[in-house]
Amino acid sequence: MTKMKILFVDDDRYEMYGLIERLEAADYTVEPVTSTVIAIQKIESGFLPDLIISDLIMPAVPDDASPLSNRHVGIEFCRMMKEQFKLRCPIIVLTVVTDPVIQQEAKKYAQALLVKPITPSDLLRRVEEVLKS
Amino acid sequence: MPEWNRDSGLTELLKKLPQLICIPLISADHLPDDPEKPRFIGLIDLHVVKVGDVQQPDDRLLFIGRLTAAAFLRARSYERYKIIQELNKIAIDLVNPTDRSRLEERKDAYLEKVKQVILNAVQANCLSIFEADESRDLIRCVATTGIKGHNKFKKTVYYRKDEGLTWNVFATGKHKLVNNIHECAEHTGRFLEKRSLPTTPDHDPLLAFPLPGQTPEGATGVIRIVERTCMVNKKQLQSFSDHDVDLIKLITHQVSPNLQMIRMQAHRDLFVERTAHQVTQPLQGVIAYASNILEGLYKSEPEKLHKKFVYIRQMARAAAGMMRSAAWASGITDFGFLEQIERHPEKLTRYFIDRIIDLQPLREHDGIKVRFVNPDEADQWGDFLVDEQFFDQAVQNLLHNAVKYSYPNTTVLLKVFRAGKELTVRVTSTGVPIDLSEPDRIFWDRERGKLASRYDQQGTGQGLYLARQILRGFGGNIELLTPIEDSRTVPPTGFPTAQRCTFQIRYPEAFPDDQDENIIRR
Repeated sequence: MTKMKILFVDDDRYEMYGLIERLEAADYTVEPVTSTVIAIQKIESGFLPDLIISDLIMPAVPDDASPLSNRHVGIEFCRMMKEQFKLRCPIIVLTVVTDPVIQQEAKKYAQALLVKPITPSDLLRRVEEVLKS
Repeated sequence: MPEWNRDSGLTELLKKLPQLICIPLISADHLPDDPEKPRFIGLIDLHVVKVGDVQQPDDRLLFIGRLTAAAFLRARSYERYKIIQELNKIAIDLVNPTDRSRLEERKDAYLEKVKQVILNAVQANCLSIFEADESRDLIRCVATTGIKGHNKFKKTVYYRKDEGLTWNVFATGKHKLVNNIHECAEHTGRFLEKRSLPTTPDHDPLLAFPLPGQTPEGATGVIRIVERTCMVNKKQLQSFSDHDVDLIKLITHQVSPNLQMIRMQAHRDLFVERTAHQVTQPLQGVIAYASNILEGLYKSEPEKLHKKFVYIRQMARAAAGMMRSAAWASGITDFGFLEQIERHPEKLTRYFIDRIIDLQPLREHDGIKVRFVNPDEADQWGDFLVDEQFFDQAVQNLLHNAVKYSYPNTTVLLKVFRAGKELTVRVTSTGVPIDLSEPDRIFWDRERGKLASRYDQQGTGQGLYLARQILRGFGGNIELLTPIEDSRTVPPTGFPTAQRCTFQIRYPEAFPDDQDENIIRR
């Protein structure tokens, strides 16, 4: 059986790999990328994930013409995935942002929003739920 | 069986004290080295506020910090954990940034909820009940066990206007609360003085560390607890429990409201958001790896397990450093701490190697190497004069930046040498360029390099500022040497041509004691 592919977008190396190790132990193939630019390039080059996990606060895309703003880049990234790239895979957003307005905005494109800190097991559970649904 | 006394009379009295906040419960049966000797279990801690005397943000920051301290204690009582969780929820509610009502309007409801939780806690644990009477001038509190027929503690806590607080710490065994009063330390003094408690032999965090407050010493309370609790040794980590992970999770949740409180003082939203982000990231790492350890993910790979222990410690250090920065940035403390300069206890080589190990979690996945160059005789150069904690912060900030802004597969060069009577440390890294028009601006408070903020991870713009403040406090300095463009290094996709930047730290070595006065100090 083919392993499910997860694209994990997070600029922070401290936290990302601890979560990824748990997902890999559960037999998922995880593709970690540290910026939305690289994530977009991966998608453009034909990589089709079964699920995207993305942080909200990340560095802006280094391109003046980019619509991605400097704050909450993750929301814009999720929007692009859904509207521009027409990806049908679910998205889980991880964030420290507790502002309900921002959260609401993110939820327009994401199937689940998890507020950090989370344990790897919690994340795994949500991943399984989202993929099943 | 004793009959529990849920004395409604006392409860009513307590209800009349909206300004009284107490955390009465600490549970642990015995000292680790002496099972017969009862351990300190009860701290009667009063925070008496006269309305109008204390500004609300400070007051509540103090309180939330105190809860943080309490939550971090490795309490055996799950009940207590739940109580603290409940208190935290209320505190988080209070500082909810989306609540547009005025603080003053929220205050009463907040205090009412807190009071209720405390009352429940007191009654459920039967540890202490405060009998209090209040006038505007005097508050008297007497602790009792809550067991019917037992006498009140002999020690009484007084708060008298303009005279401060007289208060007591009871050391006793939980199961024999009244009879086993083992030691009793009495402190008399003004309100602020009560925060400078001496360290107890068993290092009870609530006693060992001053609680957050407006004084420079007080502000470090939460931070030290983060450090202390997360920098556990390997053996302790191996006995990590779900409960410990939950506690770390709790503290991480707590970080955000703490910073929101700081925001009330600093009035800089974006800065706070970034800081919250940066503090939470490493703590999220702590939780992730600690949970993985618990679930036996690395059981078959002892080396990997060991590495994760290192990660956890280093990530906790990073979080603590960020918390400290946030506190400083909010004006809670200043750089007066540098008056406490001492000789550094560690050998120079070992010291820097340890700092390099600290960076391991950050650099590993991008193939960034750190090369340390130092002369063989470096350890014979003698001591250097530092305030250890803050010197660490300066060096950590610089090295952390160097790795953070490095491009993958590059090497950070750390070179230590002696120039005259100064020790010089140079850190060279290859990565995101620094605009040549802003060599000094990067050292300003809350200012980041233009290109750094555009191309790389978010930061608070404090790392180099703090490093400079600290090093100047030691009579040294930090500066940026002229950067050089490096077209041979391949930048990551979308990033500009690399630049090789060197930051140089200079600080005076320690001299023989009789010449110590030659050292420039603040």
